[in-house]
Amino acid sequence: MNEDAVILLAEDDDGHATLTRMALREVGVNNEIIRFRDGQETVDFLFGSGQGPSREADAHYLLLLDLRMPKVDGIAVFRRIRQDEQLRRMPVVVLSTTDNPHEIETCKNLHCSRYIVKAAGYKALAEALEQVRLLLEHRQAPRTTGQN
Amino acid sequence: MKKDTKPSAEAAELRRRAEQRLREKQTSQRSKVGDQSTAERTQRLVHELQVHQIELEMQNEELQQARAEAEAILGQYTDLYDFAPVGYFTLDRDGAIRGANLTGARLLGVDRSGLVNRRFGLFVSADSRPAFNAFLKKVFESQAKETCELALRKEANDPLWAHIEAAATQDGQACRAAVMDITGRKRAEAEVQAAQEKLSAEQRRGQRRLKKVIRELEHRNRDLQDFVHAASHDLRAPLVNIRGFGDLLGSACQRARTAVASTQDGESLRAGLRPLLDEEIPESLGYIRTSSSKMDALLTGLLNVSRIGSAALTIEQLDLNKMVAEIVKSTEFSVEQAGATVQVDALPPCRGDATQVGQVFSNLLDNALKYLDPTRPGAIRVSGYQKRNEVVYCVEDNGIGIDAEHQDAIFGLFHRLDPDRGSGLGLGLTIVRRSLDRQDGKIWLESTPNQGSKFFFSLPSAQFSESALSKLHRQSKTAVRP
Repeated sequence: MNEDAVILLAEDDDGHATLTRMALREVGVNNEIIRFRDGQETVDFLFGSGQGPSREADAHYLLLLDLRMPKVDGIAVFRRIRQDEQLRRMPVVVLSTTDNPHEIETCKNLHCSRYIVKAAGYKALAEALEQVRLLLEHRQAPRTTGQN
Repeated sequence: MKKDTKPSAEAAELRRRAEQRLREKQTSQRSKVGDQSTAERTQRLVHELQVHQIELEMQNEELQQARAEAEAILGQYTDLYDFAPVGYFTLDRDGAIRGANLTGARLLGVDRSGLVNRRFGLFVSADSRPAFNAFLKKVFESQAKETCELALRKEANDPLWAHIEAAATQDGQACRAAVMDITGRKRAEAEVQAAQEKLSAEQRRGQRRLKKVIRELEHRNRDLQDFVHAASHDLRAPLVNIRGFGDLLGSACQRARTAVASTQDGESLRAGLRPLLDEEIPESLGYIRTSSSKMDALLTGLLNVSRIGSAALTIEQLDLNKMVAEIVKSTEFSVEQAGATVQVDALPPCRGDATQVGQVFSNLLDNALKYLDPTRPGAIRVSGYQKRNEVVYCVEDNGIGIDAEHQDAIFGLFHRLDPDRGSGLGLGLTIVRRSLDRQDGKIWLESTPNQGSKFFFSLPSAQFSESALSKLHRQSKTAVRP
């Protein structure tokens, strides 16, 4: 497993963030988790546009991205990532409350690594997040510089 | 030459016939009278005279016959001229009438005796007179047949439309004009045109109605998409928490039960239960409680939005000055707290539903207050102006402004620009837009980040036509759920 990779959790809902964090730990993902409370905070971290901390050049990141967020929504964050030369290869796992085909299609077109529907029920959520563990195990999360 | 010999030949023939008639008379007399020489001379003289007399009689007969023939032809000609189905006029170069037939006089509605020497132009309607003068000039210039259509004046009657064909005489001193009454045709043409205009007006009305229906359908479709989006994201989000933390509660209970069942020592039991009772269980309960309240608020909000779309409207003329003054007064406390000022200009009246227009204003004012920039004193201004059939109002602030990329999204159901500001559900602008949709209004904005926003909205102006309003009114009464 890639223990180095830092998980970025872009999630505006405190409850969802707590459940996701717990479920990840439960399925054995012990990586560092940095949480952002909206799209703007996420963008500021990734592109160094805010006053807070920003990403480090040679760290591995995996982004867990909620779609419905205030200020800048998840899709807008996703588009900016894919348009960026250094970030476009970063694995992005979408966390959504909906299995709306239209939204799944949009995310597939942006090359999301996984599209996970936030299940109602903790056990189901943990099962779904198992995929994040598998992703980290089977895939060397590329450095954001896109060397790999 | 031949022409000259003909009368003498005719005279000779006449004499031959006269002598023949005399011979017949003498033969009958000779049988009664004796033969004497002087008497013979006298007889010859008498004969000559008698022949002349008979010649004259015969000439007289033929003259009378020729005259009768001429009279018959004249009668035919006069009949043809006067009662022809078209009016004939002879006009001189100045347009004075030299002659006219009866039909022509009747067309002009004047006795023929009163026509001669009057100018034909006097009978042409004022509108057509320049055209007539140009026509007359052309007739004398071209020497060919010319035509035109004119309106003639007829006393105390509708104008008479005439088709005129005219050509100058060979000497160029007069022209002959045939005048045909085409009023019937003109009237039919006007009727066709009026019918066409009515039809196209009907079509335009139909198109307008269709456009309105399409616009309404677009609004409904957009609202429906909004709803689907809200149901799949906003309404599901609290459920994820309720179910998730419910499961965690269940697991905490299970662990507590296990601890109670397996731990004999009271101290270590307490130590085992404490983190569950003090942290895990209250945290889970807290999330469940918050999410349930959120769910309740979202459903209530959704119902409110749907009510906006189905409430019966009372469309009337509204004095916005009074209404906005009252709304501003009711927000005085929040304005003061925000350290802001609100300036209200003179506002033109509009037509709309008093309650809903009031709600539009107060939602926009609330937003302006909510998104002020804390680094400078807030200044909010309400203004309005008349624009063709509508009135445009503007609520302007010097707040934080909105990025161009978010300007569409802000009208969406449950969209919140910044959840840290205030406690709204993100319904204010959704309600504003829906309400204006139903009152034939529109909303749009101009905004620059860090400078401020201008929210504009339009409503039908107070001078709007009554029929359009009654239609709007009817629709509002029959409106159903969105």
